[in-house]
Amino acid sequence: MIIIPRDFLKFLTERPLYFTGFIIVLVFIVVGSIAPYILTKPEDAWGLTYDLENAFKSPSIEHLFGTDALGRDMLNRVILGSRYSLVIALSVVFLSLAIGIIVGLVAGYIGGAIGTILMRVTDMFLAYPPLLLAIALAAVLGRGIITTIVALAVTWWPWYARLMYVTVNSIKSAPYVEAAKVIGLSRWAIMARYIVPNSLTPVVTQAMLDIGSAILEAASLSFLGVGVPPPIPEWGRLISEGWQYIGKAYWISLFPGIALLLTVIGFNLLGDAIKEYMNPRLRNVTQVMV
Amino acid sequence: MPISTGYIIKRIIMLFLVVLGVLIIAFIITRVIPARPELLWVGPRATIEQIEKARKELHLDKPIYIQLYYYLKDFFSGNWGVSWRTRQPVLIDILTYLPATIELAITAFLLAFMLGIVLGIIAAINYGKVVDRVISVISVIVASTPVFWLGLMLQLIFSIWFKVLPGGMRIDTDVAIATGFKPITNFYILDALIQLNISALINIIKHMILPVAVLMMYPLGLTIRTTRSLAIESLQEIYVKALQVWGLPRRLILYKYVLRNVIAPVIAALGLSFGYTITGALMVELVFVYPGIGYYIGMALLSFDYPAILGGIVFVAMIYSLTNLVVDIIHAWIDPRVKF
Amino acid sequence: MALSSRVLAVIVVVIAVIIVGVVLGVILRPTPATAKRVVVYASLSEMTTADPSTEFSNSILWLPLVYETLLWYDPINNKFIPGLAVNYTVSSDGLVWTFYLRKNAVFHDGAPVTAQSVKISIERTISLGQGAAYVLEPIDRIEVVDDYTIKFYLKYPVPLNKMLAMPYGVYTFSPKVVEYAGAKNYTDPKVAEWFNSGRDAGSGPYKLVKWDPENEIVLEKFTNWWGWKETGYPLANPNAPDVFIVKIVKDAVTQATLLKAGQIDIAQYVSPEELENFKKDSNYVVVIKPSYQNLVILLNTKKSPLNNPLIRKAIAYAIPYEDIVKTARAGYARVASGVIPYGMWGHFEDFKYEYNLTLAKQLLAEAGYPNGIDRTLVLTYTAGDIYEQRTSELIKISLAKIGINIEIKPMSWEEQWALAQKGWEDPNAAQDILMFYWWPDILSPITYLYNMFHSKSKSFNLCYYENPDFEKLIEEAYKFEGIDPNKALELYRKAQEILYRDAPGIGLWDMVEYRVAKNRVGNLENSISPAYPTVVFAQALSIKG
Repeated sequence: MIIIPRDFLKFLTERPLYFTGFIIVLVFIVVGSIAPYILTKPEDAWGLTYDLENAFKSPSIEHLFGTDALGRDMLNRVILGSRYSLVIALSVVFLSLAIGIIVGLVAGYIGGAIGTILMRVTDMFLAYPPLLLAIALAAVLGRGIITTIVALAVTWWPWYARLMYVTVNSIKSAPYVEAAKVIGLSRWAIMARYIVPNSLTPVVTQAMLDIGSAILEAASLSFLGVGVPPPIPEWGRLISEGWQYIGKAYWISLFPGIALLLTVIGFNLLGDAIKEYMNPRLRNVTQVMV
Repeated sequence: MPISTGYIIKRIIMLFLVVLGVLIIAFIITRVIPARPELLWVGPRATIEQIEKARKELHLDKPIYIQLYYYLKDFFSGNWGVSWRTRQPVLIDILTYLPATIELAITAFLLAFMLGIVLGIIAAINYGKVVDRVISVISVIVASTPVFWLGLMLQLIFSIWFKVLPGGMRIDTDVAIATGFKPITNFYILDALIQLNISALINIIKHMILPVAVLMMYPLGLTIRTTRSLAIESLQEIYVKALQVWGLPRRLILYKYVLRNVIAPVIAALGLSFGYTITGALMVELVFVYPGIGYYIGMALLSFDYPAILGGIVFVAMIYSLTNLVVDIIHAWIDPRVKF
Repeated sequence: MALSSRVLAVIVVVIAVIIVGVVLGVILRPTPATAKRVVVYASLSEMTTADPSTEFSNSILWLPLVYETLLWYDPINNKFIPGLAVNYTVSSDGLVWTFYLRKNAVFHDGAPVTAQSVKISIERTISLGQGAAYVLEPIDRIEVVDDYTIKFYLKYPVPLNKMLAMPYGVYTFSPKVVEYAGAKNYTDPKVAEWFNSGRDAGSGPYKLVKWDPENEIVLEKFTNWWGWKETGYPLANPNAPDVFIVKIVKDAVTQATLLKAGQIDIAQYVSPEELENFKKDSNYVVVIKPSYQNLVILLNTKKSPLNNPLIRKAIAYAIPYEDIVKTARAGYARVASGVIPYGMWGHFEDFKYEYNLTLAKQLLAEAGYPNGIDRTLVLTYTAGDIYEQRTSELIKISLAKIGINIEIKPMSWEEQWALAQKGWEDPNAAQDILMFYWWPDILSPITYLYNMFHSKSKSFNLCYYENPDFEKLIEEAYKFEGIDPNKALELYRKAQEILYRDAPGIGLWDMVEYRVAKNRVGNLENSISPAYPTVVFAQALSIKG
């Protein structure tokens, strides 16, 4: 589904740091996808049962990540949590991309009054600091996977809309588009054949880079109690559950946090790699100072 | 200076419109809340008459646009509702808690900015070498760390395990009592200096160390990465290479030319990161029980205290817009390339 | 020899230094007679108002130290302790109560406490109609017989003695407040303002000296209080603190830290984990007492499927009470037996439900749901309360095992209550299960049984229960409570039997309260009472050193 250019792979292998990021992302996607099938203690992961005798056990061979307040195995919960992070982040990015692209395209290409209004609305949303509006929305809509996705998507689409708008605008005045107009192609045709394909690239690239942030934001929402409800073992939620017991059973918060950290690092590294790859000035730097 | 007063006026008008939009969105949110607002207003032991009276007072019997009018009117006249948790007017609460957050934020930003630029340039100069690799790795880790988790872990290590730093609050109560510290402006550092209360000052700074350390992570990482790539780009510029060939001392090149190219975009990037820092402050203050705006909104969230949540968020959004405006202006002022 | 003489000189010097040190130490040691005994009590919540008639919230923590009621109630022994009243009688029909006041009580301004001031104080509460005023509704009129005798005429029989021992609304204050406040009469808002500016008009063992409700309240001993001179009075101790400070510390962790650092003497609350540490440390004293606060769930009896009592009983048998107590409060709670908490008169031990999943499944099958219930039931609790959170999680997991799915929704109390209020118009709009705490306003089982289950109690009967037999029983019981307690007890028992069968609401656990203090705070055991939550009766403390 994702086409990785040969060149890019070579670029990555030459740079061990970026390659590590790439591997992390790969592992995350794989584990996240097959998580329910690799659980050793599914009832623990899904939160179907509790065992007070086993509560608060520190990490051991039997429980690599220890157990939580209700005696559930943390390793299983963290593994299952990756799936939720994956699903939520992908959904958020997809949904906000869809909305943002449409809004940005219409505003940029049609322009005029509609364009201005759309962009002003976009600005109003952009006026809120990134996570804050999502938090308010999530608080009002209630907890849940869908509401989390909606709350985040509603606050994310403006970024893509703006990016799309700017890109479309610059392409609009490109010579080949002028030529197409002169030839007599209809507005729709021009949009479909020239504008859309060329403007999608920066936006979609940005979205790919943003997946890491989406994971982090979803985790933040869950940490604050407004994201996904228990017993869903989303990483932010697990960290929040461990918060009450931080002095007594630090591992409940530690391991989900490490998982979250590594995943986001992976995406950020990959994102940096892509940026450097695409930027001709940075790609072939050999010597900086004489 | 390339800024015209016309531009500033235009931006201020836009700011006002944006704030209006922010309020409208908040209003829509309040009407999405399921429960009947008048019941929420009067509380459990109310009589039927009291409920009816509240309905009239809150204008809930009038059409929605009139409600919006009253809502906006209330906001602009300072009536932001009463928090269900603290039972105080929301605006008063916010203004009381604001200075603490400002102290944290300014400190964190300054440190991130200074440290970040220095590290970023060092990394750029040593492109490809070990120093660069190490700094790059650090900056990525630092910018990816979940704020709330890092706060918890540092609290665990430094406060619970090793007991070298305090786990929360702005000042130790016994120190405050013993040295007679009194909050005047609510900017504790300022207050301690005004009262020439050095031991309190030291204690206050001790309490700020962990929250600031966590809060500056993201801006620090961002600054390093931005500085680094900008510096590398800048050093590639032909005129810079020319300067090197002509034999200008390295220091001079760096400070006079490279830095100037770097500062403006870095400030812009920092300005953008301000938004994330605000949410970061929310979580940092929650974890460290640091009584600032972030703590206030965070506690409001945890108890679903809607008046406080909305008041807090609108306030933060306004500050955010204002800051963006200021950053844009500074950016334009410093960087001659930006046009209007 | 030189060496030995030098050694001798050193020895002499050392001895001299020691002697001088000891002498100085003895001279300079502060003598107990001049030093003030200061005790600091940390409160988790800020103080609310300082108005003795209308206050219904956090300030009851200090009002019983500054003001007095006619009687104090010791619920553990079901006895009354004389307050301003030394004795009382009640007519055989329960409608006329006569109280005889003590003659040596004085207000802080020196004026004697008379029956007239009691009448005015109670009437002010009723007129202002706030706080606990509704409890005093059965009072028809109050008559002052003479300076020290007062008669209450009731509309119908109620246990007036318990009412007048409430921590709310029945404090006596000096009639001179009107003068002090520059007001026209007792209900003038200026009087309330006067109170809330930090002034007191009480007759109790302490005076209000500093009023900073967000940070600290300072109380100082009122040396002319009659109780200091009364030998054998349980609520007075010769070694009581001279200064009692209530410090607002809103965080349990900080309270524990301050206690360990010696900055406070009594902590209102520390986490159960910390409590274990304090118990082992002989520098601290831990007092554990039952509390009358309990956690209950009310089931929406008008919304399917909870309108079927079999299903409600199935739920009752499917709740892991023991596990909940272990997890939620680390053991500092008692499994509930009915909705009247342990230690209160009216509590019976045979209203527990055993945890039996097989029985629960059987009941479900009998009701027609052998495979569980299709719809997901909504349970609401007050957001931010970790005990309710932990409790609801365990309930969810356990009910899932018999096929009932629960969605847990934390909400602010206001929203939760408003949502439940919708249920009076449309039961299907409200939640299925409401989880909340109850604690008594008046110290009688009626407060639990009426408020949560009587059809006239729209505010808190949030299971929408309507059972005329039950209502008759509790109304009768309340009538006889003041006249023939044994009969009342029987009736209360019968009423609870109905609740046990019908299960419109289920008691989960009764709170166990604990306070931790430095061991210089003596007699803490007798200064705390479940009838007066959060109160430490400083006048009964015995401070060492």
